[in-house]
Amino acid sequence: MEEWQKPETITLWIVIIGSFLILLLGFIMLLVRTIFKKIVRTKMAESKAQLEHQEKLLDTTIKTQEIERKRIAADLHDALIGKLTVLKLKNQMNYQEKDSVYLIDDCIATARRISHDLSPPLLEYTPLSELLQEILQPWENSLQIVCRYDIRTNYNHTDDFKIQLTRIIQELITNVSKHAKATQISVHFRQSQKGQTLLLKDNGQGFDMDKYAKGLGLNNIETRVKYLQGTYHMKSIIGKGTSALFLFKSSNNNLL
Amino acid sequence: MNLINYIYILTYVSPLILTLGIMVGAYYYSSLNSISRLLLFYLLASFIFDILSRVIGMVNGNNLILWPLLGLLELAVFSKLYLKFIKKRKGIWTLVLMGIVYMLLEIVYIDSGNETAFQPYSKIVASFLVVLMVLVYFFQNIDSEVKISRNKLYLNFTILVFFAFNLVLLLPLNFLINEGSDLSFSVLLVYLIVNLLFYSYLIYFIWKNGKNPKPLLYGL
Repeated sequence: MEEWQKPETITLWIVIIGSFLILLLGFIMLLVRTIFKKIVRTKMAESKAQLEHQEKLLDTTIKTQEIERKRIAADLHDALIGKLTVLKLKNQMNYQEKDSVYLIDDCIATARRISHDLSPPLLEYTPLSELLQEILQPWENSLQIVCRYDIRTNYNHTDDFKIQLTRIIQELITNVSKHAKATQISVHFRQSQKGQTLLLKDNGQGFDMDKYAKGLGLNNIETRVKYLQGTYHMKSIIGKGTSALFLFKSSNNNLL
Repeated sequence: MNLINYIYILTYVSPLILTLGIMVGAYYYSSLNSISRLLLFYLLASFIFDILSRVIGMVNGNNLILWPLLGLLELAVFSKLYLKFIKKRKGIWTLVLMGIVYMLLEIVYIDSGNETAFQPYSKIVASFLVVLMVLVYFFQNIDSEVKISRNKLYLNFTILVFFAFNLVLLLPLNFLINEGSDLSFSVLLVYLIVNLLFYSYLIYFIWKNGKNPKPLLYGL
């Protein structure tokens, strides 16, 4: 009788094959368990990172609010209250109608400027492109501003969208003016069926993205872009300048 | 020409492929890493076994004595390969040592002259342990989130498939030797083709490593 015909040999073969299958199945089960554990671990790490990021953005929002309040207070104190005090003293000491009218006009202009800074006038009726021009106009004395508007589709922008975009541009231009030492800014705004893009470029000295990426200004911009459900990409090359691209996808309800 | 003739002709492809592999390995030897050098040694040993099996077969009438020795060689080569990279190796070492002891006992006590009673388990034990080591290695890498390069992943996968095939195909060796049916010859043909493909992949791996030598960063 040949070995393979013996029942004990066949039993042994079945045991070996069975053990092999158990080994493979055990490995598959372990693998599945490990992969699940890994997925859970990754998701938890992601959630934690997201939570930390949200906390940071909230912190930025609060800090920005405080800075803005301080700025308004300083504006009111230094510009308006100073002028009103002068007017009061002049009236007490030697009233001259001409001087008073001049000072009152000056105070009104200052109050208007502060008010416009807080919220642009006729926001509801002003198209976004015009609003952008208005924001950029005061900077034209110190910077060469090249604007390009490419309006292919009309949008029904909400006041909120307009004001947030205005703040983003103001933040960027303030940064350029303060730190970039740029002489030129180019602004390209495009409205199409797909969405809206805004590109701002300067020819300044650029900055180290890794070092300043967590700054208050950039976090503030990020908060606003997130609020508008948009995306942005910023690139800076030292010695060559900085560019910021914002993209806001269209939703059917804001297309005219 | 029947199936046996085809198998007979095909057996001559094996030493040719092995010769090619040894030549490729020898040509690039200086730029090969430790893994490729070990695989080259395996190809060389396989070539010697191939020639020896033909010579002993002609002289003795059968070459079955080489069967457990081949298992021992495979276990020695691949355990050297994997035990270097497996972190928790104590248990695996014990199993490998037990396997080697069993194989040595089988080599000493098995009667290779009696074909009807010849049923060695050396190659089965070797294949089982190699498969186990590959699985442990895979598991270790997945668990520790170490990235394996595509080349090394394919090599491990090839070794896993080859030894899993070995285990299943060669388990009923006594049946394959004694039962001269088409089924047993078909199984032997499949085994031969799997062997040739395995050797070819090892040669490709050695050639690729020799052509683009890279430092071994993450192990096998």
